[in-house]
Amino acid sequence: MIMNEEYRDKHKIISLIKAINKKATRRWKIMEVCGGQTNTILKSGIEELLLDSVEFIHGPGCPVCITPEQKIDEVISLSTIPENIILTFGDMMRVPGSFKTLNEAKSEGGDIRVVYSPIDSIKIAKENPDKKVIFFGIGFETTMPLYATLLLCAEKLSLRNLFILHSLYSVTGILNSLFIDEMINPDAVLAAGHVCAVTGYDDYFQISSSYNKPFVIAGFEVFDILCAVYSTIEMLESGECDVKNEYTRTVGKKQNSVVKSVFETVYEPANQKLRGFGELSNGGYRLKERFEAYDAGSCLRSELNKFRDTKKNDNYCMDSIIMCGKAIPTQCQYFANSCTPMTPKGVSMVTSEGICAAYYKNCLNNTIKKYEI
Amino acid sequence: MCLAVPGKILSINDNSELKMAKVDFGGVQKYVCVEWIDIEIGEYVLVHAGMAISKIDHDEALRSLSVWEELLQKTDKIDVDDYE
Amino acid sequence: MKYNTMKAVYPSPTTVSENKVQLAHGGGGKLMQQLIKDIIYPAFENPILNQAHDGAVFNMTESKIAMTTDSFVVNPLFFNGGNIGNLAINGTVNDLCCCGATPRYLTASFIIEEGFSFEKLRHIVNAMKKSASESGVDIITGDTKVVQRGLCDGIYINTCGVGTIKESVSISSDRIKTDDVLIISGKIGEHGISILSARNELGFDVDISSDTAPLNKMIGELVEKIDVHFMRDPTRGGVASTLNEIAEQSGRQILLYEELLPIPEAVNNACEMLGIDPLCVANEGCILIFVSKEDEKKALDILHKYEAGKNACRIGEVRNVTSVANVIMHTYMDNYRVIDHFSGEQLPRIC
Repeated sequence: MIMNEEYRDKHKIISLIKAINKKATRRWKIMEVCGGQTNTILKSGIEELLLDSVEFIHGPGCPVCITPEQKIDEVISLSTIPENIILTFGDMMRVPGSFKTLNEAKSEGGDIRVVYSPIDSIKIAKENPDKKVIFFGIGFETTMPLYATLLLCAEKLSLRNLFILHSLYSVTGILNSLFIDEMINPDAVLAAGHVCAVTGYDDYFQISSSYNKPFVIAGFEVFDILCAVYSTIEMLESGECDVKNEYTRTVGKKQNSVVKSVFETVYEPANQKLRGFGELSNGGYRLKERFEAYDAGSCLRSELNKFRDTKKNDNYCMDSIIMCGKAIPTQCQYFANSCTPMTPKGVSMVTSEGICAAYYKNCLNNTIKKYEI
Repeated sequence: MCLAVPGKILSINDNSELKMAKVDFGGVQKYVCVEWIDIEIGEYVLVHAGMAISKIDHDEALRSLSVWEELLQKTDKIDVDDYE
Repeated sequence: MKYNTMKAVYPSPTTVSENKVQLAHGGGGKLMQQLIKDIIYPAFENPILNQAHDGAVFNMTESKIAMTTDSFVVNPLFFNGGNIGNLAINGTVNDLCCCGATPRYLTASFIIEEGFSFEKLRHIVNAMKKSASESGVDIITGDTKVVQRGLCDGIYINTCGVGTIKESVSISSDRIKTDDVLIISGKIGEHGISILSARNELGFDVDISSDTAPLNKMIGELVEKIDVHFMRDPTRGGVASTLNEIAEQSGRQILLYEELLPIPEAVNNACEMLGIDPLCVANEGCILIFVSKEDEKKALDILHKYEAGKNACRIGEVRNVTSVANVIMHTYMDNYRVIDHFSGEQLPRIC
């Protein structure tokens, strides 16, 4: 991949790991928020190489995993109406709602389509003027410019058949709620570079100082994460508490002014329900009144609860506790026994960025090594 | 959290409803929306779900890499000194 | 010959333009005769087909026979490197190869959607002819059905194949032994990515062609000269799923080396962009081969003589079964990860 090779060089990675281990005088608890970073950490095996210096706490940064069951139920309800076309991302398809998944709803006749980009829904709405095209829009701030673009474009083109059923999350909102909980108490946080690429990192200074935790903006390649870990440990060892940026090639301190004004035009902060967390105050965003005509949550309200099933999913796995960093997957009795990516019990085993799935794929190293390979 | 990949701008099309650009991802080409960022041909962007969410500063990338390399050379040297 | 006794599923005549397949083309009448005479016969012509009977009658001298069948429903029908016609022949030929057989005869059945253009049909049939003659097999019987518009996606093809196996050849998963070497005969992921790219939904271009190719000459020489323990082509589900199935059947663990995997850069980059795993992407022109360590070099020398095998290489080895996982991979960072069955469809992710 362009511009990624330099960040995957094994020798550089090994010497940076050595440097980190040299710097750390104790084992520090560092939370990475983003599922993409969790995957990089587990896939590369750096967790094991940093065993004496860092205990990684895997945070709730998978938007697919934290999307509440009720939202999926609503989408399924919309899909039972023949004139509706539902569009969404591929990883939403296997996530269970209270009753079933979108894949199951699709096989029962719902017109549910996977697209690469929300932008594609403009074309689909134009091609199907007699249908309602509804994008199931979930995500953190990273994905929100896409929905904003969609809404502004739909407004410009006077598209009356395009809607968004949204479930939008705020990283800072979730972090605030995490740190109030004493069970989750990392020494420092690696902030997700892709969110910061959209939002800047001005907002982190306040969280950092009020909870007294160093924040470092990290990229997604192994080397990026190690640089951020080094920088974090440097601060922790010297007792410094600040916000630093180790993803400088992509992230600036301030939000891009154009994106900022787009955000302000389209969104406002709101309380948000999250799977595993419940409702968080200012945990997400909603659309401003100007875009109400595109908000499936309000203008298709009557269609959201058409579908009810008798049998509820009854998977009492630990995934909600795991998702907010209070437990690791191996502590769950089902993990890698009856719960695998092929037979997932909880949502974080379903999506490949989910913590359980990432653990399943990448974290059996110690067990494997026991067998002397 | 959010899958995003770096790519290089090959061409820009201002004429459609949205500002689009053809972006190369190492042999894979795709049109992506570049509505909100100021970008020129040959520059790098970070693309998430079909939209460029940020420009990648190539010079800054090289600069920060060289800073790290310098640091690593120093610590590697210390390692060698330790052995001697 | 079934071509004479075909019936349409919905045999009502329609008024479609003349360069398109009509329901009546499956109706058993004059139009159907014309379709077969104009398009099918000229392409597939051979003495057994020319018997024009309800079925094909032929002799086989060997007593050990391999038989396989496969249905092809690819979307889109035409893609970089081939079309559904090439796949329908190569897929069945390669399945026979994996049994250690010399492919001999194939059948071809078409289910065609009303309104399908003759031009496309001709392209597909010609591609079948080309692949069949490349691999030296004859298509000796077949069938054509036409269904109402909307009941099928353009065209579906089923092929069935028979091949003969030499007595000395024994390809079976229970012959896989600990310390066997795993060889792949070609690059990984090219077919799947070329299909995804041709399927306009995801809107990306990539300079990759499907690897679809008949491999019977290459594999024929291999099984003639070397004691191949087992072979499978990693089609749907990719290398990951195929190896998991093999590991389960053989009761052994397979260890892959990430550094040895021949994944083209563009395949890797397309996968990274879409968030999918190259090991789960379909292949149509390569085979996973298990041989003993001693035969590794000899096997690679044979494979390298052929165009389809020029990138052949060792990618892993067989180990005693452990309770951890059936297939694991040694990564470039010197650790191990589990390679699981591919779960569900390969879909682009946002996270």
